[in-house]
Amino acid sequence: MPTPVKFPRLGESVAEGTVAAWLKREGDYVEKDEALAEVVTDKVNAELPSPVAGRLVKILVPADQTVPVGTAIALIEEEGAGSAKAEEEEQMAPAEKAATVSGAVATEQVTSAAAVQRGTSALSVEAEAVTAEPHDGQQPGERQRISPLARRLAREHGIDLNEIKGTGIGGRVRKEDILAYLEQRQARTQAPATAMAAQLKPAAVPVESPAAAAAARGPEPIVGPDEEVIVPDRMRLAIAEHMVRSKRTAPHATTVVEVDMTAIARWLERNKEEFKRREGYSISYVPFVMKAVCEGIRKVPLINSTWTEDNRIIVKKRIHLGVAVATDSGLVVPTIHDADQYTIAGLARRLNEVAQRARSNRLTVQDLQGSTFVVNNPGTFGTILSVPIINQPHAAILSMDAVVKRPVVTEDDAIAIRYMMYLCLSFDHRILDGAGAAAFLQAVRAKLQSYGPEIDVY
Amino acid sequence: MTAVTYLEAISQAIREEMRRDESVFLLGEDVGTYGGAFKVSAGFLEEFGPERVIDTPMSETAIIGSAVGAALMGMRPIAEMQYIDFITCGFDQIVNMACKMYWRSGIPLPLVIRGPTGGGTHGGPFHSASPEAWFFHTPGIKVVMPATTYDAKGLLKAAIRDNNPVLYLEHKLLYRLPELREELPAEDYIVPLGKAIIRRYGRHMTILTYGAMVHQCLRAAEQLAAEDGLAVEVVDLRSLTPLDRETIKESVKRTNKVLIVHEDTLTGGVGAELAALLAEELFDYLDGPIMRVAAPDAPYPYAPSLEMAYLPGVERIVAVARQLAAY
Amino acid sequence: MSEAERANLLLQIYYYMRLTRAMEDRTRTLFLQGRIVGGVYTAQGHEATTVGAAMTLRDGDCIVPQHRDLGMHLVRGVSPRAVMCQWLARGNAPTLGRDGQLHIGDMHHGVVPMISMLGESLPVACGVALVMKMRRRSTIVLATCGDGATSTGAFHEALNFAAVQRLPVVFVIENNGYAYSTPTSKQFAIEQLSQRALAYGMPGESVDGNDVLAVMEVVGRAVDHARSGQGPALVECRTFRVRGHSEADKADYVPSALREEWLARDPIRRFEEYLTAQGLLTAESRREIESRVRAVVDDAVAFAEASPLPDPATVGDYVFAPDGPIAIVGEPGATDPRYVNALDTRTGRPFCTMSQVEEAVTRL
Repeated sequence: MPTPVKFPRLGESVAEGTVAAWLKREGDYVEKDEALAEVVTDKVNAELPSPVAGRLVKILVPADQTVPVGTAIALIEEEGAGSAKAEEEEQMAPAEKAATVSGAVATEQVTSAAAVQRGTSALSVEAEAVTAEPHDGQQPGERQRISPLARRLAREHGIDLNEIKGTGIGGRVRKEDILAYLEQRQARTQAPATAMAAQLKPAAVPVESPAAAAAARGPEPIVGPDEEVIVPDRMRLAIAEHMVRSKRTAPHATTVVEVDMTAIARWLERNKEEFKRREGYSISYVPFVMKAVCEGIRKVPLINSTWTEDNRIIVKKRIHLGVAVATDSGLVVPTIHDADQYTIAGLARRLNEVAQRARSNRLTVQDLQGSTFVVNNPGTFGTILSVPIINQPHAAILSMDAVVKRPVVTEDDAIAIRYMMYLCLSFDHRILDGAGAAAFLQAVRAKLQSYGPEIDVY
Repeated sequence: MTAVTYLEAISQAIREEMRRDESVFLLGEDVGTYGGAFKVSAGFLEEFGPERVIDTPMSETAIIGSAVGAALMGMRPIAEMQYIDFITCGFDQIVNMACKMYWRSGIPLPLVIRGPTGGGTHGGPFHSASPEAWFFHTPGIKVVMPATTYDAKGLLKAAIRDNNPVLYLEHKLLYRLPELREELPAEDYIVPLGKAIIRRYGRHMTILTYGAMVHQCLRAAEQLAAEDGLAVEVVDLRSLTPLDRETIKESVKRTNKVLIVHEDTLTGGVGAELAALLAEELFDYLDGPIMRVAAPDAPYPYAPSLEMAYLPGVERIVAVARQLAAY
Repeated sequence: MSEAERANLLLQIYYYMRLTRAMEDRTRTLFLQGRIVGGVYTAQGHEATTVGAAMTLRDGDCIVPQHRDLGMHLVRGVSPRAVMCQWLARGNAPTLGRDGQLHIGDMHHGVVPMISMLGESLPVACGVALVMKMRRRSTIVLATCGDGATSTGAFHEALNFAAVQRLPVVFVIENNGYAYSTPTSKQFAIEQLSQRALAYGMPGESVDGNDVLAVMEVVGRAVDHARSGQGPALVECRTFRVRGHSEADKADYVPSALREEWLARDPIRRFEEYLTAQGLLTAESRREIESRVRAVVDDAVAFAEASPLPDPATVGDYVFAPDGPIAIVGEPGATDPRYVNALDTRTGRPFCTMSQVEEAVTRL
């Protein structure tokens, strides 16, 4: 393919120029950088060097003709293709660029079309408002005034703005009006009110949470010069609320047992790597403990229950284990449903899945719902004894701490070095007493200490 | 330990950094023998000698330009503008030389330009400037404006340790204000660049402000609480570049109404950018228009009656806040 | 210096002058072919001044050059490849395509990047010299400007500040007759720009800027003065810009007789005549130098043309430098990679201005 010779941009503001004379004729051979033509612009006269070596096959712009900068003025057929690859690429670039640009434009059009559609549906609310009776302070026929926030809240709560009387200047509907309306609506629908409010709350969070909490607290904190105020993010606030509620709701009692994990520790030492290679996910102490917890619950079903507001105990027949996972933004407790149905390896797999989803912020609603008992593993942080707070509305929660080597007096009065771990159970004393809690822990411990050197995790 | 003034905090920050790091030095007009027009560097010449406390000719371009040259060599110069108004004489060295240096050459430019800013001291049109908007608009320079004695020291230390040009705007009205006296920590500390602070919490509206206006806004907030029962949140931006968008947005999401207050003139000021940011990103969190209180679009006047009318004060802030609350 | 050493040095000077001219001629060709999109500023006729002045410097000295100082860059070790990447706005150019022309620098090799506001580099030169003085070094700064830039406030502030502080700086004015289209008669009202030195309290001399040996002698004297701790000095090199302000300027405001007169005084031809008369340059050694020059230029252009364009996705990057310790340039260990100014932190690689690190460029 012949290489086009373009009229160069000889200076920032130069838009066109004239081919004063051709120094080569069609059919002539030109060297790279050899003068091809004389060109003239209002700023410069110059000899135009050929961009490539080859035969001048076509003169596209005759002498004395003025053309815009960038116009192809001649074609040169190169000898030996490939040598001018760089130039070709450079010549190609604008065309490619044009293609990319038009692609981008097309995308944008699609986007704006979608935006228009969205706009239409949003506008329908407004259209209704226009036809409605004018409110106080508004001229008849004038559009109802609504703050952007009020409009969003109305949309989120499915409120017909015509029902709302604005109290802002000129009858503008603003945040207070929507909130007052919501309160009224809740009061009207007596019975399911609580449930309804609970449902509404999350959606109303930006308005409700810290500001409302601050309002409840009363006076604003006074910040000293050597103090810093941190405004907790939503997750922190949720955790705080939950922890306070749990402590207020359930009288916590705590009991601890010590477990000899030597058999499991040795098995893990021997098989951990191989397991990971074979299965593609790792295995730790946690699935063993989960398995043992299921065993314990089978022995003491009250551990897997709930104390209700009308003072009943509901015992859950299915065991859905929550596992606490620390993420960058805080603690989450995804659920492994029907944990007792899995083998140890199966629990390890499920554990890996939810932990991964938690850390990449991809947990589903299902992941976070329905747990009946929680296993917490602060041991990963090296702690040896932790007293957990119950995840409401559960009956109890188990903490497993670090497995550490300790000198232990064995049954035959010898001293041996064993892998030991404390299991700490916090339980709702309304539901069961120390005996029940201890029985549960005994069962868990018995299961964990039941293993020999070979463990079938499948 | 004794409580120090805002001015003494600035002086402490420079002195401590010069003791800590031999690459830190100070240059400017009258900074040596005289100890600075406001005595920020009183006693420095005796302690550090004339090579690290350099009295320069009356040459802002040479002061900032040679600070750039020294920073290219890996030093951490502090260039003092006797009044920040005179920064215009060195404008090119900042916006073309310093601001584009790392971006185009990869050579970091650890450089602080500082000077007395702002009005309220009967300085007239050439000794009362609030020049932040010019530099806020310019990529490649950080801009900070401390409102408290603690921040004056911590922000200046952070600025000196930063590897980029930093414009440190100290408000001269605050220099010796008795109520800003504070006991500062004995140990070394910094206030990181780019972090705003909420000076007062409230749920009815957020005031975004910085510099000396922080104190006017706090006073206004107090009055609004007492007389109107309004809980007004006051956010002290501290750094304009980098701007702490997170804190600003977090606050506005809670209060849903915003008032921006600055001492600089209105049009094209920092407030315009803040308003645009919030309109773009938090439109449907807004329960009222974003409002601004700023100086009128006129040069800074001299006569006290004009100056009073020019500077945003508690009365104007309260009036606009009431209007916004009722909106 | 032995006879052989002297001969060798003179031929080296000749090589740099030829290389400077050849690089600029090729740059012009690339511009005419539309391959260089921005303005092109060349300095035909300046070669004796730029090469001669730079030849007086030692390791550790620093240059603060301007847009017509390619000769200075090349003598101080700036890579022709880096220069061509700069002209062709490549992603591996020293400015990563952010800036063009000779707006390049690397403090570890003593080159301060210029900006287009001519004269503004002179106060920066003072800052570099200030550090040399503080650190008790025997190195100096050589800063240049044109006749036009002597009219700026920055020129005055810099020379005055340097004199007051007795800084080790040599200011070289390249008086080439025109600032764009403005002749010196409309720029200043004194006979010789070196007369300005008196007003600042520093020595000043004017020299024929088209005579490379004279330039070396006079600038050398100024450099010795600065190096000995006696403060700054000023040199005016009188030369002529025989081409336009830029390659987009046909410079028809220059009387053709004046241009002809200066073309006849072409510094390269004059030096050639001298070398030939001295028996140092033969037809053979000249051919050898010409072919070396061509090879270097060809290589630089080929390298630049094969280099990638900057990635548009990076358009908002590199506005601020990262945190970390900064070394004082020129002190032992200053190039330890733990320092933020040891490497080009935008790329994590050595600064790619210098031929010594062309390897790094190649790897990009």
